[in-house]
Amino acid sequence: MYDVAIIGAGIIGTSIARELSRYNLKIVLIEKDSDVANGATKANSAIVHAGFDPEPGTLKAILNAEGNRLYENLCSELDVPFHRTGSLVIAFCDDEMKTLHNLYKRGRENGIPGLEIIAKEKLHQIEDGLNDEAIGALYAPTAGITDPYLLSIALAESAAANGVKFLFDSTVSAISNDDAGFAISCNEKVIKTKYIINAAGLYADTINELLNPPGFKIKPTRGEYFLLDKKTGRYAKHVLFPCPTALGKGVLLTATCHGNLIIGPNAEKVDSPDATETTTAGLAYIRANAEKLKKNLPFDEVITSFSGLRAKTDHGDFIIEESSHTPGFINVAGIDSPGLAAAPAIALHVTGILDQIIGGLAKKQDFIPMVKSHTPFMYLDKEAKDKLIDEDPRFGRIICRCENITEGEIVKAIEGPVGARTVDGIKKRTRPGGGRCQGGFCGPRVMQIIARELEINLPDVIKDNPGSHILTGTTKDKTIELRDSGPVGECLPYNSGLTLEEGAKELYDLVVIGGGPAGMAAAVAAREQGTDSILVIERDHELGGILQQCIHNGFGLHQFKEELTGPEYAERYIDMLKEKGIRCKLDTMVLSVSRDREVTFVNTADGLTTIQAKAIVLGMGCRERTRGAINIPGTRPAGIFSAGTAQRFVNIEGYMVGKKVVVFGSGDIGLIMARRIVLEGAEVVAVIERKPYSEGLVRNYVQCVEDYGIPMLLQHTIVDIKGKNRVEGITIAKTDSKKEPIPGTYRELECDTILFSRGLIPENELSKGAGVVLDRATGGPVVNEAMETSVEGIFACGNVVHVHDLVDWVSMESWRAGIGAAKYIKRCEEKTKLGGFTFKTKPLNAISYIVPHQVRTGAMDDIIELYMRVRGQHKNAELLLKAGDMEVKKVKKKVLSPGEMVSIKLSKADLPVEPFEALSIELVEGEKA
Amino acid sequence: MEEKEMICILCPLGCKMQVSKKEDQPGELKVRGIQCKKGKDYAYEEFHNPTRTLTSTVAIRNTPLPRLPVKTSKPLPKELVYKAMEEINKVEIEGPVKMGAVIIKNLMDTDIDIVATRSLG
Repeated sequence: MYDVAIIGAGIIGTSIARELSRYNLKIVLIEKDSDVANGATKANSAIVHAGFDPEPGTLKAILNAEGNRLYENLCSELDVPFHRTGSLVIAFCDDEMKTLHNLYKRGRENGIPGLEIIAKEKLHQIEDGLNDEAIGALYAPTAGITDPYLLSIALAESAAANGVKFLFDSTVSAISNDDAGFAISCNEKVIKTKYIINAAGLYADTINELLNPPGFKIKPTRGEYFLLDKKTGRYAKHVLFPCPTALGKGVLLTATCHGNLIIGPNAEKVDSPDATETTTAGLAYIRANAEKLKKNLPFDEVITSFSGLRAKTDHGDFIIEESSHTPGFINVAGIDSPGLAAAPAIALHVTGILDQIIGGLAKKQDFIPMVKSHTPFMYLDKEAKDKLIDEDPRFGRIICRCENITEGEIVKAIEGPVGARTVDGIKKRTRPGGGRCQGGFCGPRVMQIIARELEINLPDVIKDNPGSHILTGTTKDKTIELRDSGPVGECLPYNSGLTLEEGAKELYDLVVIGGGPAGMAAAVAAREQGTDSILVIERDHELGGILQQCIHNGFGLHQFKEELTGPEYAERYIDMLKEKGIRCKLDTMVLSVSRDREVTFVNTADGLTTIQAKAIVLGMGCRERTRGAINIPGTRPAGIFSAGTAQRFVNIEGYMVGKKVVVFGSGDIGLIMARRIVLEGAEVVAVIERKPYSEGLVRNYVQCVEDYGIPMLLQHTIVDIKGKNRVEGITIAKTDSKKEPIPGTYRELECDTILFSRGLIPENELSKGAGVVLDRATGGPVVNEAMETSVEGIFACGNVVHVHDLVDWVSMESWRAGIGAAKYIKRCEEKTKLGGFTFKTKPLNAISYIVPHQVRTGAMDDIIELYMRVRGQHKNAELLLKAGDMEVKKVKKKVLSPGEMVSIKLSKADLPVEPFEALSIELVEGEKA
Repeated sequence: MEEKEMICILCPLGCKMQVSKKEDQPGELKVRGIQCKKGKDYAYEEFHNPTRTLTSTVAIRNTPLPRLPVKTSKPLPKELVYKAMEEINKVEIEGPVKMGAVIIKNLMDTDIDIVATRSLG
């Protein structure tokens, strides 16, 4: 027999559980989902409101004000982030200024400290980038931001440490009572308890009515949000609200504790407490409203969109009381905004109610306030990092490359009675998959760690709730035992062999970042030019990069004059590195590169290390554009992959990603994956492409799609994704000439998996950190003919500069980078200067970009190769090259399309001897395709 | 008379071709829609003897990775692709293995081998 059973493990349930665990009570917390913080707590604005908004005298007003006051201590006690950023309610007209004054008055009544009405000038001073029409604001300095699920988890951990028992995956189906207390039926078990606290959020009315006559009704209200990439948080120094209306607080902007920008919500009444999909209309509404507050919001940095439900009631106020019908049954219901802010005060309030019912609660002597630190490894100082890696080398292995999250943190997140057991559980606790690649790279590795730690098979690892399986079996129907995830390839000795003075950094001539085709070719080329000490740093377990998962043929026709598969192409280069004795570090993540060419990396063997290079080649490659980045609305179930992630699962890990698959986007990876899926015995329902033509190579269309009778739906798009746990289907629509869906053409397709093949984005976080100037058109560094970036001595090549269609071109370009770096090192040693002049390359009309961006004639070879891409499809067009006004070359092209890179060889002899500013390339239209 | 629709894969133009046997000259082909000589040769091959290089993986034990990428040593008659997959799926080998190692010799009496496309273990 328990003393107290709490139903619902959201922020309210966990707050109450921890507060009650201070007393001598036997407590159980019952949760229908697999994890804490899985309902409204999972998806909200994460704001601790100041408390000026609720009507004075209401529970909302009292508990918000008190809750806000409690936050600082609570979060510091639990080692959870909380920042008092302050909030601004912004007025754009005199009527709205009146509203501000009313809010101010109300806030004073609610006892909110520090409120201030500020005028236009000061407003624009403390918050820049607001639209000019903003004329004033209500400033509330006590408003703050927190991490709601981390808080909920930390509360649960503390509660568990103080004896609270947690039951997950347990849906309450019936409750009965007699003189001895209550009997709660869930999952064919009966739990006996003296008191019940109903904190079931969106289901609070259902739970209440299991025993009581109908009273309050929960009317789920959905709010959708955009989440933008880290570092965009600076777009909102404060929490920024528009003036509230009858509909609610409106679309706000705020930074998250992790430096992201969050934009939303709208407010839409929905029928079901499960309706957590996003909608085209909702997201459009949010964007339009956000832009009323601030122009120039970086919507191109959206990494995902999501929606959450608020447990509103018609009553308006929180309902926190013992049921008048059933003594000992306490409802904590209708906790919508400001529920998060009020949570600590609600817990105290409920404890008070229980204290009265029981007639006095006895405090424990040995309450454990906090169980483990929640500070991310990367936020620690060097000393603390070193110490952790010393104690447990797994803190030296980065699993999530976007957020730099270590294996040590992930393992720690799994430990304990309320440890993560799912991929989303890990994401909530330590954030891998919460970054810009949305788990594309780390997903498979996180799953492997979960499987290893929980001693289950990989296909049994779920995304969130039961039924949300990510994998559907193994390829070849052959079982796979878990293997050690240590380095696969041979790791050559890396020590440069130089004797160092005490405290000096190890010095290399050349450090190459990335051991894919670009990095390997650059390293080999530099060695051939005589560069002596070279170090290649690769984050994966082996060299070769993405080639290792591209098991299809079609590589090497230009570079090796024969047709190879991806792994064969990689192995040829790996052999060259070995032969030349080039040193490599595998399983090693570079954390930063400085302008002065210092490289800081971390791995399990060396810990956190900084080395110095005379020259650096950046070869980090690219990442895939995700579903979130292109804003496809719908639910967020398991079964959504980027094509490359699916390719890794199928080809390297040996697991199947689905049974009925839709491929969205007709890029080469998508087409090639469609064939692989069919050959491995699953069905590809369709390949969907928004454009009127297939984007991939003709050969891939014929040999991957046509050969297997896979329907290719051109001029179609996905407008909705359905399914709660696993994808159940999609809605597609025809597209118009702007690639937008045409109303009235919607239809449903059944599928359990969607592969996104919607383009690649150069991975330039390190480049940005080094101050390298990027080109908006390519997304990569601006480079010269030697592939040197805007920062002297830092070179870049391959897909980090611009996305190539063939690896052969990557290798060739990277040879140039390697040679350029080697020559640069020599020039520095010999202190020689370059002669000649520098001209820019200038893409005109339909040419979207040219690489290199500038050419130094003094360093230029006799022949230079210019790479470019075009917009739109063109037939029999001419490319016209002009040095200044002088025509220097004309190249006829039978066909030009955006999917295919164009290269033009230009001879030095064709160029004028006299300096000129720019070499322009223009497309002269032939017959339009 | 048999006419096949096909798309030439040799260049980005992707010519749509209609290929049929010439009635008066057996063995010769009538190709419409093509723009170059190479395309005609491709059409001839693709009409009479379409082949594909098949790439896949086989199960492997005793190695850091559980699957080994493989390919056919030569292009395989297109109609044998699914049958070849059945054979490939049956195999389970022990590592280590070197790139180029023959995994299945003389696949279905075609004189084509299945070979490893990387070294593993």
